[in-house]
Amino acid sequence: MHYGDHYDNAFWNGARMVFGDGDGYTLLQTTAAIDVIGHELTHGVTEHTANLTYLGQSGALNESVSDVFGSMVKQFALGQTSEQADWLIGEGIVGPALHGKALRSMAAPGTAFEGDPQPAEMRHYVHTVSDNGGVHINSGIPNHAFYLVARELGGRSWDHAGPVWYDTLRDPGLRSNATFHDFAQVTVRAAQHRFGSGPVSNAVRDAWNQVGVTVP
Amino acid sequence: MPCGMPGTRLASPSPERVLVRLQRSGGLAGFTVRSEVDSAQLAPADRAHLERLLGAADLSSTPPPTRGADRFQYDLEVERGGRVQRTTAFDGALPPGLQPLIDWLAARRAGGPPR
Repeated sequence: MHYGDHYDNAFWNGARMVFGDGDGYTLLQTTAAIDVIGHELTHGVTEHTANLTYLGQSGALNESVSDVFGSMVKQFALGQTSEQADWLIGEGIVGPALHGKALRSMAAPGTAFEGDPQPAEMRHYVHTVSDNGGVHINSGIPNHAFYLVARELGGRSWDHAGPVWYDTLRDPGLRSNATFHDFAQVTVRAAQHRFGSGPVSNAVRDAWNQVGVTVP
Repeated sequence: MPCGMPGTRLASPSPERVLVRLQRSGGLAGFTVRSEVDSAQLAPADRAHLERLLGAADLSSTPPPTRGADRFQYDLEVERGGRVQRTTAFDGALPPGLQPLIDWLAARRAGGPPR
């Protein structure tokens, strides 16, 4: 807590969560958003389960899993259904320079603030060497897939969509360097394993197809 | 505090122009911010300070692998006499002497939106 001097970041260092107070310009006190705390905590969970390599697509999956569980932490705390949730990440910690409502939007990636570069679909995947290969940019694609699953199934996101994603994270078949396609395949399999072939696995498959990650 | 005697000047060759570009990306928010300094545009005292910072920074070492997530990624480019030296490093695992240079460059960045 209170790391550095007006430090405008929060991160997982491999052993603990670190939170800065923000510069008051782009970021405010980073602990003010419960989903951000959940996001950082989930990086620890990911490291000790799937250990998704923090680069490129596997890195964007690592980021997305943190947003997914961070958002569910917020929804759980507020007792919200997936219809009631705002699906924003970092609402309440963005500073005045951002001209926005949050850091990311899972419902509508690319709309959280002015110039938000997140894509929602695979055809807009951003190739870059910055940010470990755009891990905070391309996470919009798997983020949106999870949102679509939760909205399709309705009710509380942690009843069906959440367990499928958690099972995926713990699946020994998910490699550290997994691509979006690899991850999507495991989510469908995890949904079938936990809930049988039916509405849940169909919703998972349809969601990935909607964001341009084709799963047979 | 080291300083020259009043009125004295150290003889030195005409300073070579240095361009320093810093890009910070990543972090929880994933914002990218850039700074650029041209030594030709600096006051002599600032130019000397920049040279001291560059001299103290180890730009040739390979940063160790970092664990964790949401760390800032720094991409630094130093152009001098047509030669460009580049290094990439991550917050919490910076090569020796790099932090003061990054702090100085960041402090000189004009206010404005992060991208």
